[in-house]
Amino acid sequence: MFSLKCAIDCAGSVLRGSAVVASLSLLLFAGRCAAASDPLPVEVIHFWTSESEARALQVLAKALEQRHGRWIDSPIVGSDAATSVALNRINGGDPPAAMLWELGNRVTALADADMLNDMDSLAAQGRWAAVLSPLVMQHAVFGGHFIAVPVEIHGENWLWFNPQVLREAQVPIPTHWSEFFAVGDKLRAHGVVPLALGGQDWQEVMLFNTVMLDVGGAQLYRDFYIRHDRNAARGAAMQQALETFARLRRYVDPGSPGRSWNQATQMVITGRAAMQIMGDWAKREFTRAGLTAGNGFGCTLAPGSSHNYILAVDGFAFPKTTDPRKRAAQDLLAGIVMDPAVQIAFNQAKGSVPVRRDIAIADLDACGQIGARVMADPGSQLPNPALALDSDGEGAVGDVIARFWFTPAMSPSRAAALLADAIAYQ
Amino acid sequence: MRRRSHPRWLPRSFAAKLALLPTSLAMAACFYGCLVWTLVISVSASKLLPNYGFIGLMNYRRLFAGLRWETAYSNLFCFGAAFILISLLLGVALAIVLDRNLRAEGLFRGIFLYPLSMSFIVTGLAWQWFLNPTLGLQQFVRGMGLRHFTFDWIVDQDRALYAVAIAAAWHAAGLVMALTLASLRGIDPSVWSATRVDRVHPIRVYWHIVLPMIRPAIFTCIVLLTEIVVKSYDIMIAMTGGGPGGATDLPSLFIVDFSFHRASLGVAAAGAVVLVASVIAALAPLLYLSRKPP
Repeated sequence: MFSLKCAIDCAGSVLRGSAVVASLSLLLFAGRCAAASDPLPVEVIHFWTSESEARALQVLAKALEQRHGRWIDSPIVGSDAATSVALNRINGGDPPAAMLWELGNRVTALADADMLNDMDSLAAQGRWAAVLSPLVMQHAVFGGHFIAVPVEIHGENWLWFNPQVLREAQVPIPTHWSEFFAVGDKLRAHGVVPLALGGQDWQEVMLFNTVMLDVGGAQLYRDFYIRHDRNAARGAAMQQALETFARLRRYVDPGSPGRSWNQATQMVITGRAAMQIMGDWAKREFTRAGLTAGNGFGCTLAPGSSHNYILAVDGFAFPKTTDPRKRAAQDLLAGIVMDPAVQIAFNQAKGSVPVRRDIAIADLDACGQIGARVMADPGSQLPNPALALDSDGEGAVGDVIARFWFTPAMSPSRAAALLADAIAYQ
Repeated sequence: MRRRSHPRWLPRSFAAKLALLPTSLAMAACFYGCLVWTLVISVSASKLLPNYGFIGLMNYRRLFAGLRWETAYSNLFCFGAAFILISLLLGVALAIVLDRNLRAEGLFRGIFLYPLSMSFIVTGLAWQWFLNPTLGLQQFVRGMGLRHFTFDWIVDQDRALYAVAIAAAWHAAGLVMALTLASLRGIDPSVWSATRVDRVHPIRVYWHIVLPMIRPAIFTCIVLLTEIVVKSYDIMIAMTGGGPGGATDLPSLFIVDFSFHRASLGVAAAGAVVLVASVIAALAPLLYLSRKPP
């Protein structure tokens, strides 16, 4: 049966080639087919199509090859589109071996619908529970089973800046948002946009989260995002955070609405803007422009949040399948993702921090070292909205923050009341 | 030779009905079937995946309690009214100008029809650049010396919707022009001869005689434009993405966002049901008025 399928595959390949090459490749392919064990195909649906993302995936593909597997790439532009393709494939009975996903509400929704294989035996073998931090564990495990294998951690409370612009305007890096306003005024007088912001709701939320963390502390952040405390959402600290957030409007240029995050990063690179709050995937925009950390661009944790790290975790999830070869492919990939050497190579290519806590910090770049050092204390780790809320709540919070940002007439108390409504169904 | 007679028990139009049957079945399944399915989903507990647990009107309650639907729904009418009005005025005006035996009429007709051949995504993207205050028109005019020139509708919460309406009307005005021009050409030349003898000003002729005569064409335009309004989605995505701050949200954006991004199929279906109900309510009187007199 298997050899018949091989023969058909070979015939297909031959037909595609030209007549001269055909006879040659027939010999070659015949040899390949004769080999008893083909490399195990591992099909992965993902939405990582940018250069550095593709480079990071190449690390996994190479590691697969070394262990007699074959990476079959199924890239789809956009995470929403990738989700719906993956769901269609699962419903159609032909699931991919694995899907790349941001850990959090979507993966748990799939696990809740009993559509994912668990990786419990591998996890027990590799003692994953001991090497993953509690927050990552909490979201990789659902109902007592490992339903996802995390691959990298991004931080969302980073401040990226252009050191030359700050030097020319003779301003320090603000350590709290309350200090930012004086710095911003000087930068404006200097003809520079103080804060580069992409005007999309998730970017506005990212900025607001750092303000909330500064003004209300980790306590407010936890009350709102983890405990879904509606009184905290309505409270005085939240209103004060919203007020500070509103004061930032002056320091953003009018071209912001609809701008993508990497266009905003370009503004910092070219010196049109001084600073940007963005996750550490922004690092690759700087390095691609030929800059290195400390030389041409600077990274530090956002004002007032130097003791916290807001985590965004990406990982792989494995759809339920009855095909033993597919199940073997899933185990093969899962093992590779958690391999310490692969973790280092992958995260270096991607600019993120490894999920394993037993990896030496020295292997990371300057920014990654800051992140890893802060994260060493599990108490510093905070979940990003996608981890903490379901996708409905995440979207509702984004609606309120974006509406408030663009509506100067809206009072902080009204916005705070709307935030309390936004987490009402959590 | 004797002609085979039609069996008496078969209706006369049997063959025609038989030929139409597959189409009707496909139509019933794809259109009405999906309509009913959406109705069912809207009262179910569906989140990321369909789930047929009945939860009553909960999804509708969440739909109307949320911040977005109210804006999206009223935007549909503001955007629709602005878009239809601008397209009609511009299209009819262009048609009348071309109808006055303009030189190089073919060239202008081509130019005005050209936007129609572009997708809304391309139109939206081009206008987004054109209207962006730091890239496009505003920057250009300021660069020419008018330092205080401001045209920032696309980033203004109150006006962004109308900026999109202008871009969409630029796209659709050619269609209105083509339809109206064809009708204008069908006007009996004796109408013009008669009014010329009476020395009536052409503007009055258009207003009182010609435009009422081409009312069916204008009505067709309104129906076509309404359809564009209800299904408009891509131009918003390309121009504003629903922003700034939800100011250019539309029911279509809401429904797609809630079904795929927010994993709330139930709420999305509730929105779709309300949208279809409103479209039927809005179009029914129009269709009733346009039917042929008995």
